[in-house]
Amino acid sequence: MMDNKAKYPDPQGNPETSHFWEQAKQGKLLFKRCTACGEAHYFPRSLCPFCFSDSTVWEESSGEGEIYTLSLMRKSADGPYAIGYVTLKEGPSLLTNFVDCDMTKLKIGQKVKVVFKPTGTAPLPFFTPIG
Amino acid sequence: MVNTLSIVSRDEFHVAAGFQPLVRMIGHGEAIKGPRGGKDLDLTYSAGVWSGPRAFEEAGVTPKDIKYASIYDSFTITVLMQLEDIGFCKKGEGGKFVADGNLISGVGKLPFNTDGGGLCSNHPVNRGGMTKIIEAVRQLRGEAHPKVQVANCDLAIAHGTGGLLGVRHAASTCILERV
Repeated sequence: MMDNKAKYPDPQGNPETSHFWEQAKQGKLLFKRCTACGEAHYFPRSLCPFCFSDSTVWEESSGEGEIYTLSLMRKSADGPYAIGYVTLKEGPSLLTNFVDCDMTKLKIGQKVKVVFKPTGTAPLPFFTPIG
Repeated sequence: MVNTLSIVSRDEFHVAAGFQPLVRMIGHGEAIKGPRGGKDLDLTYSAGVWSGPRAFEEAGVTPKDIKYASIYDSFTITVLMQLEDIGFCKKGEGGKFVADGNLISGVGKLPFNTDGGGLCSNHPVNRGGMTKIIEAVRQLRGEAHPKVQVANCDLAIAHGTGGLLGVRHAASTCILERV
């Protein structure tokens, strides 16, 4: 079962996330790290969600990680799709869609990598199995 | 549009209005849980692990003391996780707890949602918690349906979650006592 060619919503962005979306256009997946407590987080914020420091800096992710868990929606108005959490090599987990694959073969623990899908504005980061 | 309303008032007003026996809340807890910036993601527990113990501590009772439970039942997994998180059974044993008949009034240890729950009673949009309190109060007053009324029901719990268990959500627990 392949995912459909859905029309994805256009991310709007804001001053806090504009750099993230600009880099997404270059195919780069960014997250943030707090230089006060050292913790990495995703989605990126100006203030660290752990210690509330404003000393947060951008880092580029390898774009690789593994599936924490997933859910396959076999029927929807736009056709089948799979959502789930990916835990990045760099630590943070993020909620995403799995694309460009046979969704019935997705498994917890499977290695995946980021793939950007175009929208009317910046592309959205989704994930697909490696190999 | 569906609205719900609970009235908290002085005892004498309740007595004058004929609401007897009286029911009072002796413990409550609230908590939230989200992905926390993606750190140490763990979807096997909910905010109920915090709201439940807070309510029991304030009430000075334990899960074993509870005679009846109203638990918000948006999905099967919701109830299983809440039974575990509030402390009615160990983590991972919710399925067995239910399969053994423990939620059936007159049969099991924890008579549950005797109004029929969200599917068989009703589920007011975004206000599913109120129906849980209503049935708990009915049980404490001895006003539940005779086929499911719990004998000498003097202590009940009402618990619910709101939002999305897999993303971000809140949990609320209250423990009610027959006065």
